[in-house]
Amino acid sequence: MLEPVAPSDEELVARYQIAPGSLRSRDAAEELFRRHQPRVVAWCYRLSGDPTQAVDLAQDIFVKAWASLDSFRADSKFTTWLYVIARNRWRDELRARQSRPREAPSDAIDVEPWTENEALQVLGAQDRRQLVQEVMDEVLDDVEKKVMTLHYGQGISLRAITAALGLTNRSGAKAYIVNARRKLNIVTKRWTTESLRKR
Amino acid sequence: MDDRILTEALSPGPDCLSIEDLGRLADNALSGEQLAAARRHVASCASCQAELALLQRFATSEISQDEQAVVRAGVEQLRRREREIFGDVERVRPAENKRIGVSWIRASAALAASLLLLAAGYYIFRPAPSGFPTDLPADSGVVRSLTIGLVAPVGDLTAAPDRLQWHPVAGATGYHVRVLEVDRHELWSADVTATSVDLPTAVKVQVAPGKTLLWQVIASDASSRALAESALQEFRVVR
Repeated sequence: MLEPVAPSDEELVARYQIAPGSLRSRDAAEELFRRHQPRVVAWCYRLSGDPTQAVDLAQDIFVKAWASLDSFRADSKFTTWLYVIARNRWRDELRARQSRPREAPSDAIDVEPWTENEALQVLGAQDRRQLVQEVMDEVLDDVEKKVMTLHYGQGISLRAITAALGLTNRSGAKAYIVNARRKLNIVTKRWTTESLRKR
Repeated sequence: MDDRILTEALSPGPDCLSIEDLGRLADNALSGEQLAAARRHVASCASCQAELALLQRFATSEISQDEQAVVRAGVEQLRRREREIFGDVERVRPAENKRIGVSWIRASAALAASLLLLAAGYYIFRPAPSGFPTDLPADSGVVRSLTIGLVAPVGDLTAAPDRLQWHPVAGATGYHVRVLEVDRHELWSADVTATSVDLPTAVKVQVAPGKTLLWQVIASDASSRALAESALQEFRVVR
């Protein structure tokens, strides 16, 4: 006899959408959400580093998911759709933390100071952006680039980056930042206004 | 180089893909020029590459030994809070609730409240127009201030339906009708002005006994603005 096959996430959403509010739909949503609760709690814990806050964030994410389940369209996986909600919630959380400087996580690390380079300052913002990305492509490895981008570009703490990317080395994201800054400093020291114009 | 320059250079730029589009890219849900443009951008954008890495970790990562106790306790707590997550939805029996969704109840309550406020406002600020609805959330995908009652087919049938029929919507000048499989793959759709439409033979032959299908109607006004949308209704032919 064939074992019953568990419905896919997308089938559960379709069941929910047949008659939102019915017992059957509610059951489908419950099954769907329970399936993803560990994933969402783990993700929130990795980013917040705090078990209590992780549950609060996860609750917010599922409240939003419940309120928006009608609008799910099967042009993406449910997991991806849920991630979008989770990511946006975390972005809001980061903004709130940044507006509360005293509560902002401390990422004070003992790193090599940046090499001053006036040539870089005279470039326009768009050129600097392009230049930095090109140089990072040249001298940093894939993980270093991701860590630098998430930390400097998105304001995510090194502890959260270590957990979110699943970095298993001893110092986590900090080691990647230290290496990346050292490599970038070596390149920056060589830059002159003339050399940047030629690039 | 300094932190300020790095922050400026590594923050998401105006050309960066939205989280939603990065999700579609990850799910292979983009095609044609949209896909080509997204790939071109991501190939040279550290910010989008990092976002994709986060998404992939969310979708695929296992819970580590270190995380298991915290996650287990968190999930238990979350389950105790399900009432808060699902709101005060009463668990009613399917027969009682078959045609009346909670969203409709909420919409009716909201409509009643809006009418009361409108009436009060009329006397206080007589010349002001009503502007209904005014403050829908920006991210709400579907406007459900009105729903459409579907007449037939509904539930279990003894034969494949010949036509789809629904109640008219005030102000509607056209209806978009669609028939879908349960995975939401669209089998057929049509735009009509009447409140019924014959199912073409090509669709009827796909109504195999035991196979559940869904259908839905969206009403629009003369300027093609969506006025109302039905819930997805299921039907199937039973032997």
